[in-house]
Amino acid sequence: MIHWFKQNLLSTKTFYKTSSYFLPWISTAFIVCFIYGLIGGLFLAPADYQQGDGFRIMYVHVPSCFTAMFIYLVMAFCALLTLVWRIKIAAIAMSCSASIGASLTFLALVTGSIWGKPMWGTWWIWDARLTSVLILFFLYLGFMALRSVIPDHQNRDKACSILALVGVINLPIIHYSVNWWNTLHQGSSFAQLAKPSIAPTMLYPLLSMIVAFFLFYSLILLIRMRNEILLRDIKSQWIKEALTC
Amino acid sequence: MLSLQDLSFERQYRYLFRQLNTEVNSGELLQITGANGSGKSTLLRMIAGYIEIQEGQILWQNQTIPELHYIGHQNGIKAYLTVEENLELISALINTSKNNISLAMDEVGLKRFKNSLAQKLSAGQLRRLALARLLLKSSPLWILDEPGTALDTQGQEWLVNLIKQHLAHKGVVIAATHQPYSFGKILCL
Amino acid sequence: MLVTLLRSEIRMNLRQTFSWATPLLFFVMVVCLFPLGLGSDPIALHQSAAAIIWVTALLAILLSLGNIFQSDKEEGFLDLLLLSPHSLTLIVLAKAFSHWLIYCLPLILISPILGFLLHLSPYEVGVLIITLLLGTPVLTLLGAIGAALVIGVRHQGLLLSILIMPFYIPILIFGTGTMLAASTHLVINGYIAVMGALLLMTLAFAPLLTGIALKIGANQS
Repeated sequence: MIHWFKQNLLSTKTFYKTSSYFLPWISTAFIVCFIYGLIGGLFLAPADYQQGDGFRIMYVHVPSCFTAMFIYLVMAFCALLTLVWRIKIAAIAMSCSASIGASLTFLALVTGSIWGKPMWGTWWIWDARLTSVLILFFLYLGFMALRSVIPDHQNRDKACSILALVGVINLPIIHYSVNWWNTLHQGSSFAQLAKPSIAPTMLYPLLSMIVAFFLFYSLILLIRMRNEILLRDIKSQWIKEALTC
Repeated sequence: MLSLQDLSFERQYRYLFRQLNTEVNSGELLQITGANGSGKSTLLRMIAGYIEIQEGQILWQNQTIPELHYIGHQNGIKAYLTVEENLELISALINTSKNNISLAMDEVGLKRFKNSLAQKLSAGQLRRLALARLLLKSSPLWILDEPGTALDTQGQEWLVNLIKQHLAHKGVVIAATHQPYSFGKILCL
Repeated sequence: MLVTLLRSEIRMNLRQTFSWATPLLFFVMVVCLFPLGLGSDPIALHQSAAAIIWVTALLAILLSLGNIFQSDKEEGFLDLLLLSPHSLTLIVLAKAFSHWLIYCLPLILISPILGFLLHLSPYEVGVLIITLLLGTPVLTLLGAIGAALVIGVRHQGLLLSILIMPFYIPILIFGTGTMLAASTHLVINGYIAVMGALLLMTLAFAPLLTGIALKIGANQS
């Protein structure tokens, strides 16, 4: 059963061919969501009564945070597929996801810190959420470091899968321990941001931006995967045929 | 009987060997020769199960590979253990009794050194110590990667006899060699 | 089998002069650097004592982990370990345990002296030892995964630390958290229980993953 899937639906060849049909749809959907999110977030949504226009950076910060965390889960899932069922496509998706995840995490950190400047008065505080994201960034960097030192791609895929699995097992533990650490050490001067109920005019652009970021991730992932497939299967016959016609 | 069917191995976007087919009957020696980097060690490690098979299959009497002895380029000898302790550790690892240790040391001519650290042995003596592993437990399949390296003429002769004895007991030997022995099949990669 | 393996590992490491003493000396020296950097104020030192000892122990363990599988790989002994009919998980567990005995136990044994140097009270020193006893095995087991992952890599240098350090965060937080609670005389049973739970969890999954990683390492040759 699984073997049949591997041979047919999940082969690099099928993936390369079918993915080209999806690319235009995904890019269109991304552009639509992104433009609506931008206009809605930057112009239509009313200014926050506390934070003024400063809160608008949320429309980049929150989606990048969400997507960055989501990507790590995708990588761990692909890692499982790679280790247990040796699905090539999953390994390729995993290794192509890492740098996208790392850049989105970096974006989340930077926007978080820019947002923090007017809110907290400093660029950085050791807030539980910021710290968790920082650790996620380290995890991504570690993954990329391991990926860069193993020359052979089969071994690289497997070794990276193990690291991603260890990461996903530890991620909740790290997250909760950091939360706990934060309540332990935090002085009373920084009150936690209360979560106000969000108005629909603010919410819809946010949701749209989140969808746009997910679509952006899938778009870049597809392009990178197609590239990687070309590199890996460069000697095979079907690539020669696909590239000549 | 060991048979390799349609074995291919690709590394760094390049095939080391492709569609390899061969059979070794019990009591036979298969010698693998070829230039440096032609994939001899890779093939041996694949038969021994260290390297995952990419395409094709390896069958032992139509089943998966049984217990085997593998001696690679490196001797697998711990420098900071004595000769005797090394053999004790190995017999514990391969799950066999310690009865054969003294005999094995005698056979490879290292009994005098039984209490000296492996660190102090010469390259040839270390190779002998590695080969002593073959005598600790009888396994039908021996996989030897250039077993004769660093051995003196006497040692080479002893090794040939050891292999012949194993073949006489219906064993199978697969060896990578640069100077093939006069007996046994040759597979050139 | 496990007994023979343990005995051999311990023998080998003890025979290599300074192999087991280096992390210990590193630990002592780095801890002694902190008063020089922070100033000799007893209250300030007492406040950061737990963090100093924990972070330094963590670094010392990371440094020592570089050689847990490295010599096995270089000498070709790893091939023998993998060929063994015994369970690889058990072999890894035995190796990790002997590594802990040789490299971590001395750190724990010397930590009371360092604790007193940093003005910890006897009660706090007791708690420190308990947290180290529970925490260092976790650090060793997690580090073993990383060491196995980078086994085929030449010049692994600091790579292992980069890979593994994020996973050390929970243990660091709970280790120092327990010390903080102890210094304010709060009940510490809960913290100890959490650390115990982390240890059990790591025992369950780390040796298995290390085994898989070792197999991949043998594949690289």
